[in-house]
Amino acid sequence: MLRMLSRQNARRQFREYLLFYVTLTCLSAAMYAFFSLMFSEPVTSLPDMEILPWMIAAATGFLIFLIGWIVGYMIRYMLKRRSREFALYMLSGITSRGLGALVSLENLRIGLIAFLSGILPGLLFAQLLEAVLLHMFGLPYALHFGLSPAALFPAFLSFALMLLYAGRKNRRWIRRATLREMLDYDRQNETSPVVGSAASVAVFFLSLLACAAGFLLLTNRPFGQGYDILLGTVCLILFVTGFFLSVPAFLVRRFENRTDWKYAKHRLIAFRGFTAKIHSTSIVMGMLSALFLLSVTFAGIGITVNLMVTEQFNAGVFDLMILHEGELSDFSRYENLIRRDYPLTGYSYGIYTDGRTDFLSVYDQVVLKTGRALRRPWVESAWDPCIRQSDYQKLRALLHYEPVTLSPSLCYVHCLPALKKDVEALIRQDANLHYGEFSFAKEGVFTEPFSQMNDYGNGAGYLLIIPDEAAAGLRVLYSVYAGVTDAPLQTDALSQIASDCGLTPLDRSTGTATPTGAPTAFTVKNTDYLSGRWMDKAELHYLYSIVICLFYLAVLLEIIGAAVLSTQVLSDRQAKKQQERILRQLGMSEGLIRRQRNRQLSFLFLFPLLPAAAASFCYVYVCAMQIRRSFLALPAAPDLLMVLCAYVTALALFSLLYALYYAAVRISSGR
Amino acid sequence: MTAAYQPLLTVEHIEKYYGSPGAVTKALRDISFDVEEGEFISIMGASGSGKTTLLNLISTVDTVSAGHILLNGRDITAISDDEIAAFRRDSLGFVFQEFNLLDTLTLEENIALPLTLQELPPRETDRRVRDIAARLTICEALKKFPSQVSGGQKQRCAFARAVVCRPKLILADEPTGSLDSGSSRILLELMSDYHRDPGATILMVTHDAFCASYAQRILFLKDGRIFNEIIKGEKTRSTFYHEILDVLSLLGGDAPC
Repeated sequence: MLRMLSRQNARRQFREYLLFYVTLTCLSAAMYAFFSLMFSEPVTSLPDMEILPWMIAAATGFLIFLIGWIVGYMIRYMLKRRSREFALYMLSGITSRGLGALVSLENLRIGLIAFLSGILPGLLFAQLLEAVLLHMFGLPYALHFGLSPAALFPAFLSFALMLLYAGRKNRRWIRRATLREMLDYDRQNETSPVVGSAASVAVFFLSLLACAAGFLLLTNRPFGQGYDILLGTVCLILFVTGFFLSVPAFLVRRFENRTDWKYAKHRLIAFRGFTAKIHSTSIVMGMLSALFLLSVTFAGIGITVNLMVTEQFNAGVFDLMILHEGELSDFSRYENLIRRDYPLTGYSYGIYTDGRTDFLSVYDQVVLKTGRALRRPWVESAWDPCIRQSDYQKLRALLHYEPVTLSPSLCYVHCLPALKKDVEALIRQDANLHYGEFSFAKEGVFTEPFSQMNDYGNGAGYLLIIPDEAAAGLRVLYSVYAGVTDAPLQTDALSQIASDCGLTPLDRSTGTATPTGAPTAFTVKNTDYLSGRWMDKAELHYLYSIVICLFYLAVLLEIIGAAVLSTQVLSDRQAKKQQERILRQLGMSEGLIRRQRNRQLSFLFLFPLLPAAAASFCYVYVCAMQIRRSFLALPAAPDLLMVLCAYVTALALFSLLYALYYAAVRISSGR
Repeated sequence: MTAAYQPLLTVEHIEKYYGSPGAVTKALRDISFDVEEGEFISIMGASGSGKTTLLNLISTVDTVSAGHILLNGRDITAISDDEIAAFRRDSLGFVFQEFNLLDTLTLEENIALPLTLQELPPRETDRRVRDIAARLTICEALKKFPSQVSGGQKQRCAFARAVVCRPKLILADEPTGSLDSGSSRILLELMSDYHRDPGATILMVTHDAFCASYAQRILFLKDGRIFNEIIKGEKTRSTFYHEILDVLSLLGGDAPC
């Protein structure tokens, strides 16, 4: 009997449950897609991705409880709206225990259908994720479909756990509710009207002050040692709490008596409707704002990491570099061996120094200016590195760069764009700046990508281009073979080359101390090192696990937040219909009613998002800056620009999914 | 040459059917009557007699199956959907049994709402709201929300909203249905007063004889037809009330209130 009733109810209330069903379907699709990624063969064969399953599993564990709690809230909200229906069941003799079982059956039925419905979009989403991930690794992607039983099981288990956790509290509520409570629930739920008190104005402005303080603390970090982050976070929490509690009353206080404003341009209905709604849902709005904050922050940090890896990769232009310490070396043996398997064009040259540090001090100043700590990681970076003009021209030709005319009596500089202004200033200001007997060309600073981001390559951030005759007699820091291949070199290819040629992959994360106290990456003596942009990228592969996990969290948090918001917005559909009926009777045109409805809807969707967007910018800024300053000795692109880029991209991706929910609610409320 | 006589409202042979072919319910059958400008007319009848259907047709909430309704000579059964909203806004005022106030607006804002729809300057809106509130003695409740005031104050607010635009015709559907006797009396006195000055035309649907006794003329509906019509004339309200009860006893159906 109960089973039949639950089936009928699930079918009858499908439209009412549509949003809940769509949300569960999205969650199921996302869970399946990320689990599928964990078990996908192309992904599992990627290097340095061993940590990915653990990170996804940990994130899922966290999400089961968080999302379970929020889904539980959604279910409870919908159930309470059906309290009169439940009261009728109770009057018909169904016990509260039976009612609990009925509701559980309904939810399980909807959950099961939603999970199954989520598989197909999950398959598509998994393909998209796989394509993006393989693209990050520079690997080709081939479209393939097939259900992954290995992914299906953990996805189903996580989904079922989440749903059971969500239903637990609701079953308890139904079992404990009395017939009287069920009948009177609507009346109990009437909210008091918004009253604009003077205190609300004070709280509102204090919350804005807390927001500004939090922003300043997080972005300027005046105290250091993490105290400012802690205090900044406290300020932002105070901001979000104070903002959502005070804003309805503040708006009422501010505009209630301004008849010129509220009676003009049909503002009255939208203004009062909006303030009433946010007054009755201020706690939920605050919670949603927190969810959106986390979602945008996670996505922003993920994008920062991805952009940083791409930035570093793009700054390295030579696919393959072989380094030999201390003297000029003949690399033809390696070249021949590599060419057997990989078409390669390359050139050997030397990096020299005369022990001067004129440009190094400029480099140091710029590093300090970007907020980074000064560090001199490698002993070979302790002096200004130089290259012969002829070698430089050959390398430019190898990279198909526009040819430049170099005067044999002048010196030039090739550096990262971040250094250009200061290097030019040094050349302009110091008339006595010479390299040997050669002065520097006034307009002679080049900034194309030139494998200068990492410390071994064409200098750490900059390289002086000196006349060939000036190089005679200079000390060779290391000699380099720089090559360009026809196709990308994957990790297995790099391993094969290293093994065939007896080369040691350059590991920048380890070093040995030198007599001067500076560490060096050349940890093994009498060996040649393999480097290049593909090696650089392979070094950072482990970061992709973090990126994927952050996106997993961001997507699921957004889905659930947007779903709760949509449920809230649609919850008073009956009251809105009644209001629109009255407005029609009063002579409001259909067009104006529609505009009012849409305006209010837009306000409600923007309301929790705006504080979240402001606060998440602080966190993205802090985290992204910290990550960039730790990873990049000197950035190829300005830090702030890249952080803004990451933040805007995160917000744009967030808005895409958010807009889907907005459109769904708009269509639904317009029916 | 004198202008041709034209009543404010003319209802001509209207009919209203519901249902599908083969199962037609005739809610109204060949109803015709006129309402003069400045008249206070009441429509009475038992439940299901067609009172509210008739009101819905006059207020353009529903459409006629046959016949015409003319307001100031203009056939409102033939106006387009776009014109209906403007017609309701400019020509009609409504008072309902359930007040139909917007919960999220204060009483002051509820009264101002039709004026904002007419896009009156905010200052003029405010002035008119205060004037009508003073006349209907709800000034002290203007800043309150509907949930914070009594039923009587709500209905006075609803009446203020109905008349604040100075409509040609005020339509009232069981306006005292949700009020206690004291509040009903106050509302009816106010409606009567408003009918005298500035001479508002009121069409009230009710099944309450006491309420109807405030009208000048009463049309009785039975099974969708006009069954009887009585006019107050120079009679006292008490006499008229007893006359209404007599007609109702002939009418049958609901027990008179």
